[in-house]
Amino acid sequence: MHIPDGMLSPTVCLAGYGVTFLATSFSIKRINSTEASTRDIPKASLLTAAFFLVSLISIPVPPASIHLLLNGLLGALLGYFAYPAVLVALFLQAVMLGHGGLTTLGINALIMGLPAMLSAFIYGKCRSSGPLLNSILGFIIGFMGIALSVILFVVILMAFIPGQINAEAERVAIYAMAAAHIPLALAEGLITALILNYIQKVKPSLLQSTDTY
Amino acid sequence: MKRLTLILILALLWVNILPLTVLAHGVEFKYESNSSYLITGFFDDGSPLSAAQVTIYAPDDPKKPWGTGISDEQGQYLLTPDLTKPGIWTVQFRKAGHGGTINLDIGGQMGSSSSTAHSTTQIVLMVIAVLWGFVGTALYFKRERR
Repeated sequence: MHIPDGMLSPTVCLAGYGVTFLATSFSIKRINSTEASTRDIPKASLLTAAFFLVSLISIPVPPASIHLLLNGLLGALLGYFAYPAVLVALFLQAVMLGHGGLTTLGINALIMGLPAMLSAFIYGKCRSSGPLLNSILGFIIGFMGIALSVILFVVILMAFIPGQINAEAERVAIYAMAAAHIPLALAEGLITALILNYIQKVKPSLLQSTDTY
Repeated sequence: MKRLTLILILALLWVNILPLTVLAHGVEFKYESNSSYLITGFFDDGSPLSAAQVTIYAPDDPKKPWGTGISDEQGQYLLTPDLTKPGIWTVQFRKAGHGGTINLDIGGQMGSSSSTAHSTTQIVLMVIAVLWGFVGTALYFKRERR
């Protein structure tokens, strides 16, 4: 899901940075306008570390090799902190480990951050204290986080296939990559449902930042 | 005398023609230096970047591809560059938006083999450093609130 340097034209990369700038500015403004501005920084920092780490765990789904994202869960737990958290984690992954790239940082943040923001919004609006409803909502958010990211990934790549490569072969490879993420979306739905349900039971205060919506 | 001269001329002609006839059964060789570079693309988890589209850019035109190809099942592609164009050659592997780019200093001071991958130790150390940074940040802000 991390698009590396050299895969997209400079114009597309700049547009990605533009969207990321807007989303980050919006998030930071909303964070500063709430009481949670410093209260939730420890939680945001630790969850950014978790997001950084889970992306490194590869899951072989032939013919592709995919990795966990948990951006839906990140959104549900972090609220407005979600997009900046994704951006910071992706920056460190690009610089330290070569996952993704610096030119494509804006696009990658958009692909993984926008679904996290949407998850935060949906969870903030629809959160329920009932375990069954909470689990169902958790599954939807977890599934949607991956599904939306894959859709954004596919749409961006398909729209900007460079002329010098075989477009048909690239399209087939993109579809195969997208299909490989279906089991991951289901798995993340289950993981998100379990974690949110567990937190709701043992420490519901951890979910407070999403109340700001 | 005339007959002797004629025999001599014929003999000389035969001596000249004979080697040509014999050499027609020989094997000749010629060679020219033509270095190739075996480039292997693989994901971080070690799985090969197979069936990737390979695009090669020569130093004299970094915008127009010099050549294209497909990596094999092992993620390998054999590049035989035009040695009359020394400089930085750029080779890009791409498959479903994933891949990468490697620059080869052909004709320069490049080693016979090289890798862009980090070692496991390097990765573990970097991950620990980053995680410690996040944990430290969390602890700092948690302490400040008390």
